Amino acid sequence: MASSNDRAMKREVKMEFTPMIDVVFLLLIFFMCTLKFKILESKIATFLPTDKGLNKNFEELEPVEKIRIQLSLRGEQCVCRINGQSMGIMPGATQAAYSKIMQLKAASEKSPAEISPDPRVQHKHVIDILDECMRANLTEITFTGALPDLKTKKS
Amino acid sequence: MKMSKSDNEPEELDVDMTPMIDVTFLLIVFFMIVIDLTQQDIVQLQLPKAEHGTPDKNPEKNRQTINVTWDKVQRKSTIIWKRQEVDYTQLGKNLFPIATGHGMIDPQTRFSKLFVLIRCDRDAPFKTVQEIMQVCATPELKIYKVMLAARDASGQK
Repeated sequence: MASSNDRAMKREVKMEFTPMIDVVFLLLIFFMCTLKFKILESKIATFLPTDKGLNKNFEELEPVEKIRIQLSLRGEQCVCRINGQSMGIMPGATQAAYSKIMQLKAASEKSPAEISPDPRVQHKHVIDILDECMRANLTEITFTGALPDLKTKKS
Repeated sequence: MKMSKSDNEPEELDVDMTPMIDVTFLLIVFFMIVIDLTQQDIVQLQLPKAEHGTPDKNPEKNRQTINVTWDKVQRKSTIIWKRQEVDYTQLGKNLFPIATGHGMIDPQTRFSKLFVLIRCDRDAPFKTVQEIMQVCATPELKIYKVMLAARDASGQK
């Protein structure tokens, strides 16, 4: 006759896996839902002026001929002008703008570009023009234009 | 014929859970590795396309990301910094300790070493970006390393 001790030894120990599986699945679903795949973005570096901030008389200090790019609004449309010459309506004007930038760059290799966007112009049009400047290998690009708040504070 | 006791009882089916648990743990480990905590500052928005921008493969260590969203219905732009909606004053206040913190001021130039990445929705007016740049350029913050984010469109043409 088997003793009670022997019987206890033979009894199979069963682990309850159900709560663990529950938690594991919960974690799995959480990670699956929160997963965001990294999309490679690009960046366009701009450097803000490091002198005394906004210099109102900066025109007097610059002897070099600049490529002046203006983005203004005509109704809902964004119009691009380079050195006063209309390039057309954005975004269709980018090719003409690029050709004009290249033409001006050929005349003076070190010409810096100056972008003056209307504050109401959509950000994508500014990036389009910046992109064309990068394509034309312009190294010096500055932003000008009225900063609305500053203007109201000073007046 | 007399049936034994064991024949009467329904046979217990033992499903082997080990491979399933293995696979599940493997998936959890995969998702934990793949999850990128640096992406938490990024808000889903429609970035403008740029073909000639620099790919953002190695983000700068000292970089803060500012998101600008655009509500097409209300025609209103919103600045989001660290998942919080902020205005220009708050943004300046939040950036101040980071921009002027220990070791963040260049001893030679006296300007902040902080990089600021502006992720602005393509339809938002440029005014918002201009004003963020204005906040960065204030004498208190002295941030001049500002970058504009774009969707990498190189090779799409």
